[in-house]
Amino acid sequence: VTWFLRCTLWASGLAAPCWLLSSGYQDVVASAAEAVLAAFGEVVRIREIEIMSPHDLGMFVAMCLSSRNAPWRERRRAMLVGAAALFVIEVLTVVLSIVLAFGDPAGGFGRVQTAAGVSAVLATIPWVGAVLVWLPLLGHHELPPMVSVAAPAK
Amino acid sequence: VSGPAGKRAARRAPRPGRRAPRQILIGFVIRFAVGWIVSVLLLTRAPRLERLAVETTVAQLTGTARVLGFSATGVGNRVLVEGVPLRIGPDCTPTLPIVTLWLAVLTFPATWRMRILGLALSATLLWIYNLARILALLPVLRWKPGWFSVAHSYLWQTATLLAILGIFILWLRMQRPRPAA
Repeated sequence: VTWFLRCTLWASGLAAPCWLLSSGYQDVVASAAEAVLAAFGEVVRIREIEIMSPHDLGMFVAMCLSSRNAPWRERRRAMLVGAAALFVIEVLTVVLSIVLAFGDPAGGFGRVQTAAGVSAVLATIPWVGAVLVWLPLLGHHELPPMVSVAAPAK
Repeated sequence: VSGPAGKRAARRAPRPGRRAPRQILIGFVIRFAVGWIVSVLLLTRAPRLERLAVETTVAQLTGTARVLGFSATGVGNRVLVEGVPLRIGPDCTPTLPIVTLWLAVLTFPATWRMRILGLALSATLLWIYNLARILALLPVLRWKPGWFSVAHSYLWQTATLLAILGIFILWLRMQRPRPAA
């Protein structure tokens, strides 16, 4: 519970700078996605994206800073590794959403017809990324009692 | 192995009948990631679900506002509360946060009884949270419209993820070990 309260405070504090940085940061993600698509021979110009980042990064950093049971060195390493992983997830998610939205209907998963379909793919960034990256890096420091209780006993 | 090295190895080894926490978490992350990919692909094929979620959100938002004593009307995906207009898009519904939490509940090691309880608890609480979130934005829109962007960003992104985390942790704390067979 204290971890969750610390996380709430950190995340709330980091929300404002994340909001201020969001436009510039999303341009960087868009440029990286363009580069990935260009590497596969697809020339795409992304004018603007709305992917609710870097709030995912802010939440991840808040989760790491709140994880006081982990040594500082491990938290620092987790923040560096996790931030890089989240950036990769953001870029790949944008690339995937573009492929699904504008790809060849005959190939792969086919073309997604609705804007909400693309939204569902892009939702990976806000709803999944931060927690899934934090859990294997630092989750075991904060959740062991609960995890042990949840594990089916024989 | 005997002696101090053996004792250290014994301490590191998972206790019989219980996996090490990190193994549980990594297994959970893998199952969740696979489940998320499948869920997203299914959602992209279900535009009817998004329409239903929008219509339900509009109806419940209008009803809740009326119960609270405000004048409210809802038509299509638009809501008018005390003269403040709102457009409810697919992203304004709690569908994806609920899918996220349901997946977490279903892929975490737990009894089916606890999972069913978790599914009901998470859907109810997140639906209530989402209505409260939208209603909380109304005074911002009315009196400080310039703050709407930052308030919406905080309430939708940071606070919603905190709500998902909080409900999941609450559910985890409700777990009890199964009796030994």
